[in-house]
Amino acid sequence: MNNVVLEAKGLNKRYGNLTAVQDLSMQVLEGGVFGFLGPNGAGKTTSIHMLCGLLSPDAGEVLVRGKRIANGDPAVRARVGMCPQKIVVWERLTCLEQLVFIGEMYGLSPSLARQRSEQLLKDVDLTERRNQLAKTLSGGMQRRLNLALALVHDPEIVVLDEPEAGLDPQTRIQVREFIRSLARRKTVVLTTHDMEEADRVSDRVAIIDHGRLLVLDTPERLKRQVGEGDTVEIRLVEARADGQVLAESFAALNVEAGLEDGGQIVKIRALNAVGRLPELLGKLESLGVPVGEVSIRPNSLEDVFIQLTGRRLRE
Amino acid sequence: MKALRVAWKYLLEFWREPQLLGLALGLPVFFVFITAVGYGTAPRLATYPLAMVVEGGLESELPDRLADARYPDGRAVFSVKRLDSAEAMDASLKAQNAVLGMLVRESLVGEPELVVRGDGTAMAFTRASVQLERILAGDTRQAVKLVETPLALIGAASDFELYAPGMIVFAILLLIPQTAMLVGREVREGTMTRLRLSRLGAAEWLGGLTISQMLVAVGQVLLTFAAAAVFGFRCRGSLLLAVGIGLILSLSAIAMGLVVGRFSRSDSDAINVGSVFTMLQVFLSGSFFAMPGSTLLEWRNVPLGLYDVLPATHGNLVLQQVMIGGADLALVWPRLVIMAGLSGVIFGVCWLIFRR
Repeated sequence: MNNVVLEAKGLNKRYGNLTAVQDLSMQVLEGGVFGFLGPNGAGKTTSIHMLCGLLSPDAGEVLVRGKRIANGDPAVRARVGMCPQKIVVWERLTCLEQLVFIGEMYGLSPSLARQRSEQLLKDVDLTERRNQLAKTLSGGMQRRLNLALALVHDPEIVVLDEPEAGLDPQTRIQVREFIRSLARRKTVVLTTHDMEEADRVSDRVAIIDHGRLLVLDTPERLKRQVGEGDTVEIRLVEARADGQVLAESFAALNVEAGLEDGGQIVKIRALNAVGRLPELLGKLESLGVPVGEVSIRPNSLEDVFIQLTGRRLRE
Repeated sequence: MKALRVAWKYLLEFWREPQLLGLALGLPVFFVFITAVGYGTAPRLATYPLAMVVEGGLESELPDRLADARYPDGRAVFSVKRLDSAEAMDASLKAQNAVLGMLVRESLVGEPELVVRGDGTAMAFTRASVQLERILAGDTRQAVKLVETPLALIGAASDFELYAPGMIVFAILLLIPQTAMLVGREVREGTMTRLRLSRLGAAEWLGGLTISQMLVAVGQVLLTFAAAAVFGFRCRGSLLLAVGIGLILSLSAIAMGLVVGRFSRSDSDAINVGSVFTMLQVFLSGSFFAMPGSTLLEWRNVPLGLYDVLPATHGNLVLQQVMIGGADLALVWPRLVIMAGLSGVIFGVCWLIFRR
């Protein structure tokens, strides 16, 4: 189960003066979902393109089961299936035609390509649309077809680049379920800037920013690095600047507190925050801080990212 | 096998794209129609209307001589209409009731002289003047005997027929914008990336695309030929050889389309830039109008000039030789070899651009 299926060793990629990826090394283990997270522009797509063999790194190498992928054997490259973020379908081919076509391009026999295509159409709930031109499908259907196109050759590793981007809630649930079922049979590499999505489906998570790998671990361990328990966010009526005073006051209660969002929000991390809420609010009252809106949530990967970089994902 | 599947995919996409269908199949037929109407389908050895005035009391046998003049096949060279005055003759020329005006008058020194008038920019005037000169030369009993033999092996060709091979070249060169559109779309929409990720090799992809476009070229040649045949065109040589020439020429057009498509940013970009390449070659190759040129070198008795760097120049010439002159492969092979070589060079550039 702990076999390494995909490995990046010291990957570097530059575009002129811009360093897109810097010394990226990581291992993806067989089975499950590997979340590859980072804000927009962090270098995720460049890394993914190198992992799939679409882009040659300036330095370093990518290994699939120990074999180099870039400029190597097409059979090695074919062990990876990629579902790009942008919908990439042949608009003037029917769903079935393009699945069979790309299957044959991966070297499947026409009969096997057809058989797999029919099954995939069923899996992504497009059987009734099998003979419809892709351009006539809705956005959600096209995205499901986009996903099926990455799978028709039955790759060992499936790379999904922001698979939930732009989906309506219903289709998002369908896609998420499909990813989970996929992860039971294959190794899934999921790139996203949605930490909640990654948290829900990933077994291991790598966070990348400014082209560098920041952390790689299970979501639970990463969240534990931030602190056990929950996060309480209290919006203040008036902004404050005395973050240090607040932090020291709350330290006496054995919780971690600080100001965020220009002094508008007090952020407190505490075990059993719900039970301790009256105590926490009472502390603020004793400090003469008028309280507005209060929210409580478990620690998230977003908190991990903020702790690592000092900024929110979408900043 | 993969190349054939790629070819099939492109043909399907082509068939389902009305814009491409119209461009590839409709436009050449439309141009054939325009050429047939514009240049006329009458044989080139036409009977030219001639307006003639004999002034004063001059006696001249010339009107009768011109009216009796015949081509070798027995048709009259001129239909002579006698008018009363130079003014009436001019009016007839302006109204295009005559292509040539002839005035017989007394010169200042008292001798009869001939004045020939007409529109110098009109092809019909030029040709009628040549015929007139031939007859008058005969009249002066010169030693040189002008024997007119049609270029075609079977009878005379009309203006329209002379332009028909050019129309076929034009149809084939339309592969440039149409290939550019298909390839550009594949690159821009990311489906090329899908193909790159697969086990499809660059040679298989290029081969598949080329096969599909060559099949379209065969369709274009046959359709253009059929449209021309409707307007009276007769292929003097082998149609099969003409199609073969078209196929070799199509290689260069497809290769140029690949290059344009690789760098186009939209469908309209591909069509516009591709069409510029098409029209430039159509004109420079002499497909629409004969281009002046100087011979830079000679190979196998084939004079080569500046425009011969274009495969279309050779394509146009050999198509004319085969379709109008009835030439066979033994005569046209040197230019076919040159055309294939030039196409190979352009394809080599494509290979460099599109290799993985």
